[in-house]
Amino acid sequence: MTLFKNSQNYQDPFAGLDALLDHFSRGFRDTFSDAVSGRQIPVNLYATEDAYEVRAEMPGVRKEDVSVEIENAVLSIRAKRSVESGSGAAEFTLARDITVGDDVAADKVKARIENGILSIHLPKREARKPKAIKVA
Amino acid sequence: MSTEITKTTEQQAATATAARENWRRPRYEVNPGKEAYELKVYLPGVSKKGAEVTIQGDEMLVSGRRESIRPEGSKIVHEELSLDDYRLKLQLNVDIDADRIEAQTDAGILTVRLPIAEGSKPRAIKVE
Repeated sequence: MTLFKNSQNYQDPFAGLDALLDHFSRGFRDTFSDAVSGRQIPVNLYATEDAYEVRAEMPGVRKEDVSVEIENAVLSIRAKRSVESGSGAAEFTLARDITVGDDVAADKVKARIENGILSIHLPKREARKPKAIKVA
Repeated sequence: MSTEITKTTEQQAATATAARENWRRPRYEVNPGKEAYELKVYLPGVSKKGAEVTIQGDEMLVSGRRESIRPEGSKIVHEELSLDDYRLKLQLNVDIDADRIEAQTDAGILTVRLPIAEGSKPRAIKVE
């Protein structure tokens, strides 16, 4: 016996279309993502005056299972996730590499994870921040 | 980790098209058990406060309000994540003991334990 009568949201006329588009885009992403390193982590990138901010979605991933590295202006995020299924737990690695530019102060990068969202704070190097020069 | 379950009267929008504007259907998994079903709903970006589970009749509604992830005063450089709130409506096929439902959030996953009502459990009938 299944728990739910109908897995589709019958009241939403677009649910079917949504599922179809979802399916298409997933196939598209899978084809072009890096098959070796695992699945791509979706990210948002923001910029403020003195820092770059990265936000990545990874529900179910714990602090100890995430690694964030920065080398040669490339930020790499790796996350291990275990998925329990009927027959047991399977583990796979999620990955994402982002080119961040050479103006990041690599030694001041900070990361934290909360509610399945990884936040990375990448401060810009002092020298590259715009500085107002006083005219004497 | 915490436990919370909120029972409110369901607020329904007038039409599906009007209401769907800013919410999306989250991914979910169901693990059946003898005593209870376990429902896992993926709600990244939703804190304990933002998650709500409502059961009315045989209809179950899970909703999750996302917290803003955009830093104040920032420019968007690149955007892949959908920032819409979550909403998942499911029709229960099994009688659930609504008083004993437990829900908790952890690392962006909402886990709801739905105990099967006594009357709906499979019963072994003795052959005399």
